[in-house]
Order: sequence, then C-alpha cells, then structure tokens
Amino acid sequence: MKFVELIERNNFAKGEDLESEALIVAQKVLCNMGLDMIPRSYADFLRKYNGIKYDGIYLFGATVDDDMDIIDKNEQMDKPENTILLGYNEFDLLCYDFKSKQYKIVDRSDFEVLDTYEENEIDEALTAIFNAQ
Amino acid sequence: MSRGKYARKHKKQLEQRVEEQARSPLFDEIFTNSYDFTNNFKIQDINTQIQIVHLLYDILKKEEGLSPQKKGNFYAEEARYLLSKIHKLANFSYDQDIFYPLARDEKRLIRMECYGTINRRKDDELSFLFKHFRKNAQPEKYPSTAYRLMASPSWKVFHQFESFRSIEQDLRRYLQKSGLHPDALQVMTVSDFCEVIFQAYKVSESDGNAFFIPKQNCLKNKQNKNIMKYAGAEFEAMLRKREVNGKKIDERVVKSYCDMMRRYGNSDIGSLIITERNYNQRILEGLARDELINFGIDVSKLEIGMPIPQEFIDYMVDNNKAELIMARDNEGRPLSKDGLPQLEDHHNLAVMLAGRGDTIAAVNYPNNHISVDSRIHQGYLHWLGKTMKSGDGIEQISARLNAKDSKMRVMFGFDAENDVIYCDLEQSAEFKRRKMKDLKCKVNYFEMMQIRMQNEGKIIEKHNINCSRSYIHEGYRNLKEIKSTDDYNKETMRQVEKLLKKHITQRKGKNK
Repeated sequence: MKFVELIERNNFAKGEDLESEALIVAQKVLCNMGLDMIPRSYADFLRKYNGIKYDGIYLFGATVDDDMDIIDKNEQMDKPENTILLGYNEFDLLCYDFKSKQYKIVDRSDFEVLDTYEENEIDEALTAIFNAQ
Repeated sequence: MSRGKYARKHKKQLEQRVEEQARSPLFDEIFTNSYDFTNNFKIQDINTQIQIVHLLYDILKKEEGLSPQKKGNFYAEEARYLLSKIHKLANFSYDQDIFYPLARDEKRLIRMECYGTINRRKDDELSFLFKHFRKNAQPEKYPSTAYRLMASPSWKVFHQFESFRSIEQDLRRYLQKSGLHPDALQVMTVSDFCEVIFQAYKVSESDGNAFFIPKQNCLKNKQNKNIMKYAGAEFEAMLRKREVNGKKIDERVVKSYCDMMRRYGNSDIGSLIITERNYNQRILEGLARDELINFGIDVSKLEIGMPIPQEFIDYMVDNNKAELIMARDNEGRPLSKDGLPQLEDHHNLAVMLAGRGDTIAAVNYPNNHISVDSRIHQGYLHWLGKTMKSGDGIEQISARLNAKDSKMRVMFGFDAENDVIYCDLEQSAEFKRRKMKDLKCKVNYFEMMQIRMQNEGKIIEKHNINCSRSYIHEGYRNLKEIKSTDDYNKETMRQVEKLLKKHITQRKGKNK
C-alpha cells in the first residue's frame, strides 16, 4: 500500500493545502540557506499532504504550522551535512541527501545512517520514519 | 488561510534576515533583571520561555567559536548562569557522558520495540543464505518444535526484549507454515528475522510495515495508560489548571482527552474527539432519530442536563458514532483543543547511551520515559543536546539534559514543583519479573554475530550450498561495517577475519 493511502485511513493533523507560491518560497529560502531544492518526489507528496504530525512524528511541509514548517525546522534542528531535513520521530531524522540524491533515515543523536532509499523509494522512506499505521 | 501567508512568514529569509537578537527587548529584559530571573521566567508562557532558552543558548554557542582569549565575556558567563537556573527550576542537569555507539541492528530493535512495528527490509539487505533457504522452503514440512529460536545467535539479540520474547510462539508457527529449513535459524541475520516477523504480521503484501504488537499495547501507549492508571487524577488536575487566553480549558475537553489517554494510551491531540458529558437538546433529538436499541437506551426517559454514562460515551466513540454526542460551542462548532499539551515521548537515558546500562532493553523501561510538552521536548530537552566524536572516532561524547528524578513521568512546563507529575512505574511484580528475565537474556551483539558467522561455514558445508568467495567477503564487509567499538570488538573482528580466511582457503582446496 502506498504511504499516502496508508495515512488516508487515519485522522492525522496536516498542514493547509499547498500553495504553489509557498512551495516556491520554501525552495528559495532553502537554497539561500545553502541547502538544495526539495526533491521532486517529496514535493509531489506535499501536494497531497502538506506536512503531517502525529504523536511525536512529523513530516514537514511549506506550511504556516510552526511544528511542520520545513524552513523553520531546517534552521533550528541539527542535521547531517548536505541534507535537507524532511521529518523526524523520537529516534530518527528523515533527511534528503542532495549530494547522493537519496533519502536517509539517520539516528537523531549521532547521525548514523540507518537506512538509505533511492528517490523513487519515497514510500518506503516515509513509512520507515512514520511508524504509525 | 489567506493566500500568501506562508510567503509573508518567510519574507525575512528572502530578504536576507539580519541578526536582530541582540536588539530584541527580550534580551534587555533578561539581562537587566537577571537577579530575579527564576521568578520572571516562571510567569512567562511556554513560547516565551523557549525563546529565552534559545537566546541564552545562542550566546553560549557563539562563544564556543571564539579563541580562548576572547572567551568569558560578561554575556556568555551570565547566559551560562541563567541556563543553570532554568535547569534547576526544571529539575534537570546538563551532563556530559562518554559512550560507545550501539550497532545499527541494536538501534533498530530498540525502535521496533518502542513502536511495536517492524519495517520491511529491502531484498538486498537480506542474507544470501536466508534467500537460499527461503527459495527452497517446503511449507509445513517441519514441526514447529524444530524451530529452536534460541539456537539462533541473531534471535538471541531480539530475545533480550520482552516484546520479541512474547511473539516467539507466533513466529515458530509462521516458520512451520512457511517451511524454511530449521538450520536457517543459525545463520539468519537480524534483517532476515525482521523480514520473517514482517511476513508473519503483515496485513497485506504491499504494506511497508507491520504491527507485531497491537498498537494499543505497544510500549508507548502502554506507558500513557499506566500514567493514567497511577497518576490519572493528578494529570486531570494539571490540565484543569491550564489557561488559554485567560480562560480555563473546557471541562469536556479535559475529560475527553483523559478518556483517550486512559482507554487507548493515545496522547495525539489530532485524534481527539471531544464529547459532551451531559445530554442536551441536540443530542436527545439525534438519539431519538438514531436507533440505539441494542444499547438498551430508552430515549424518552432521558432529560436535558442528565449525565451521559461513561460506558455510553465509550460505546459511541468505539463505534464511530461520536458525531452524535460531539461537544459543540454556542455557534455549533466543534470545541477548540487549544490549551491541551501535545505530549511527546522522551527517553531520559538516551538511546545512544543504552549500551551503558545493565541491558539495552532498559532503554524502553517505564521509568525511562517522560511524556513532555512538545515545545519543551524540541525547544529545550533536545535543543541543548549535542554529540561529539572523540579523537579516535570510536568513543563519543554526548552532552544532554538528564532528569534528576527518575520518577519524573509528565512534564507540562518548566516548573518542576508545579508542572510535573512524579510516579514510579517500576514497582509492579510484573515489571520486576520482566527486568530479571531481561538480565538473564542479555547478550553481546558482536559475540552473537561472530557465532553466526562461524555457523555460516558449517551450514554452507552441511547443505553443500554453492557459495561464491565474493559472498564470504560480503559477509565480512557487513560485519566490518558494524562499528568496532572497543578492544573486545576489535579482537572479534580479528578472529572473524582469521575465520573467513580459513573458509576461503578451504573452499579453494575443494574447488581444486
């Protein structure tokens, strides 16, 4: 089952619908911060769910909700180099490594890479960070 | 939401935000009134308190980058002092610990146990030998008793955790059904077992993960239920004290939130359904329309203002009929959830330090979990934490906040005397039994992996499996990837290397 179908079954808090302008702003600010663009597959996901939060698990979006704002979180939280932070749970971070073009599940404390997913494996990466079914 | 709100929010970033911190009124206020800092801090709302923490920490961080001669300026010294006052108020200490990182497999198991879910492993993460046995499986050929899980070094790593011990029976049944050769257990890796557990518990083939412990019983939810069981009255009282815009939280919100925590162990505000506690006109009309004969309610005998029985509320929520008794304000809108804390789970003994305890399973023990307001969790407890590698790159140093009192269970705010619930959840006989069992089941991960690799040689020969030299190298690489974290492990690596060389030589001889 696709991740989007999986979360449709649940009543998770999500960000407001994604506006094109918001996505452009997010892309520009992230680039200004020395990061990179939001990967295409994740941007596609944001068009359906512009950020989700559930019980200590977060996926970021271009949303005014401070808990899920991809810009604020990339500014505030520590993360491995050359990555954009896309979400986290109690233990791990979900990052996109823009050098290797891969999603990575990384230990929050020591940044050890626990799992790696190619860009087309976004479903698996999102499922791995979002353990709730 | 009005269009462009997100763009306006980040206009500053687009225009290259300037450093405003030192000119903020907050900065002036903190440093001009620092003698009465704790009392001033206490009366602020959480968002302002978090801002203060960040401001003070930023000052310290800036000083870290300075040369020794420039260090020790007034503001940095003062910031350090004021942060220590915040830690004291919250009953936390800021400590540095040396630790050796856990193996990736151990980290994964800790996460799986906490959530009760298992993520599907990718095919290329499964071992060659497991795939070989899976391909040649003969369903129902062997009795379930043939699957001696404790003969498996990898399973012994799982067996350290109560959650995994509890599914052994199910797993044996699944193995019997799948017909995997029992010898496979001796060489299966942790990832291979993850795949087996996933297959045993998946709901459908296309799922990415599976609950091996029912969601309502996973450790995280169990913890919340226990908090409500042992400190529910205190929890409710704390919620009643909270204010939003000068008003107390509506009683119906408090009751519904506590019900959800108590019954499901769920603290997620997004999932909360707020129900009425007394019958009103709207509910009575709705009930008259809806046939609830099975519940034995005679609607004609109900009157406005009568309390709704808790069992009836539970029934309506469980059967997706809560809409009928959902609480609404004077204008008919669902009640606001503002003012409720979004609680998150915090491990007091950090997962990364788990290797230092008696057993790694202890990291998921009840007294190691604190339910914390998400703003404090992210903006304070994790904000100040950092990990540094030592010179040799093996040993690491962690600086983090640790609760001074192991009984700290819920943290609504910074004031440890008024915003915190203390409760010891490790006094039950059930927990004591679990702890004793955990200690008996403790194993050394690297030792287990060494045995597993020794088994590989034997099984390859016993089953005459055509195994390339590159596979043996692959196995070695996998093991090498696991961080060699102390002298023992370095010695293990040397032994494994020797062993592999022996296998390669033997195979070379056979090939001749």
